[in-house]
Amino acid sequence: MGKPLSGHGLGMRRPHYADFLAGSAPVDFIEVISENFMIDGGRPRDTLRKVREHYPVALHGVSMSIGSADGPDPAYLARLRALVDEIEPAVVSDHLCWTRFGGVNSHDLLPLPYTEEALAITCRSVLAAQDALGRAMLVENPSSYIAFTGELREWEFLSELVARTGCGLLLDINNIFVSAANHGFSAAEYLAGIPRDSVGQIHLAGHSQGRDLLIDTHDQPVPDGVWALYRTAVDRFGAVAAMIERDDNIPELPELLAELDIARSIAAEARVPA
Amino acid sequence: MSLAQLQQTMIGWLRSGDPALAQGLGGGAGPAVYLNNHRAALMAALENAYAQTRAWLGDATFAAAAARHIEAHEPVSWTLDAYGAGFAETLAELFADDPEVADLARLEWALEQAFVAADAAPLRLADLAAIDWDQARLAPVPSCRHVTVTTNAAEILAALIDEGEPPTARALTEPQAVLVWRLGYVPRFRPLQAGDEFLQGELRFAELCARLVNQMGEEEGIALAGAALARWAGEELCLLCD
Repeated sequence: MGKPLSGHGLGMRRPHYADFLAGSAPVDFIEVISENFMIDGGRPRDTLRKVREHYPVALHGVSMSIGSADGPDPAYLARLRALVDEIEPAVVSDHLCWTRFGGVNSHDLLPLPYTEEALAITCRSVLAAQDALGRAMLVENPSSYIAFTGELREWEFLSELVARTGCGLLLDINNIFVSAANHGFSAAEYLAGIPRDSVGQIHLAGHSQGRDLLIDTHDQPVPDGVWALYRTAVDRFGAVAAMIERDDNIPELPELLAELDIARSIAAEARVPA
Repeated sequence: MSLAQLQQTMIGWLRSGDPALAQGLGGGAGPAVYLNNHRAALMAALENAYAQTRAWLGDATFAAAAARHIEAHEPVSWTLDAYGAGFAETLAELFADDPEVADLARLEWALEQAFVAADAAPLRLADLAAIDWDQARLAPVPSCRHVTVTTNAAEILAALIDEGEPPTARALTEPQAVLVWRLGYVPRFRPLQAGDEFLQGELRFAELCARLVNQMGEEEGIALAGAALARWAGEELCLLCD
């Protein structure tokens, strides 16, 4: 799997549209939520076309539902393919999760049991998606609040998924941090278990402390613990494309750019070249 | 438990909040996080789609109505943007004595749909002179919708959008059709005017003229067809079919 993106980017959020439309935001790429642009037309799609003239685009989905027991949704994949054909993104990604079953959508990233049965189903869906999209995709590790009993650890499941489908991984360092805290596993062991050449993109984000669990709110600055884990990640995977993923409580652009500078400085010290 | 059984249990938990199902998911604090996320996502979808209806009802009343809708309606689309479909019918049941509430929601939903409707090259005033009107066939732009209301909801919505003082709700003497469409990238709406009722599907302009002449006489019919055409072109409401 190649590394189609490089450098450091940001998620494109509405308060910063003007900067991205002008091409004035000093980032190497932008990432957008695929579903927000899987529409027939109008201003959102036009905005994405225009921003695409300035920046490489990563399409990041939340509704592919590769872990659904009832398989992929062909209508969804056809819609995504149409967007892919128009925007020609550098990367297409979604999450290791399920969002739909029996015709009902949860609109949340629901956890999978890391079983051989779930692995076989997820592999079939990823292969179907890659076939429908005409390209390999990246799969992101989720943060989770339930750990089902299974034969595999999450990183083993992801490694097998890569081996069996040829997909790559989008490693969300914050999600590893959150799930490690919630389920009591070692984040360092997680990173060590991920194949070195499988990581095509990295997400950096913040979280919040809930009453009993860490919650993946993506509404806070990247905390020290996530930066430390990012340092471990770049030592293992090299300075692969990385970005700040802020989904809520969106600050002014300079604040996010300052965080991106921290990521750049950490990546510059990577022991493994990109 | 198979994956399908687990997912059925999880969906059941999200839809019902039945504690027995949470136990089937292993118990603990985790299931409640997903339940909260699910309900918050659906609530946010309704709030985003119906900002003016929410302003008209007030936050607490809107939230209670949205909660009733969420309880009764499963999200069936991959996009949250679709979840607002049918909310007007819920509001019509909940506010049977205040029909402007459902009318407002119908108009807002049509505006939402117009915002993301397919792009099209509309017929513009500058195009009119070069067209063979004996053969020309017209159609509404893809964003064009006709919404029927029984109240002054269009006036209320206009005032709410302009952040002005909305008029008191009142019933109309007869139902009114409101035209909703997108001008450029901006959704618009206005009451139907004479001739607009024909702009609901493909039509030959010559046929429109003939029908209006038949109804109103030659002079008035041709004048009305011309006025409608000029209005549609000025408002980017129609396109020329191939």
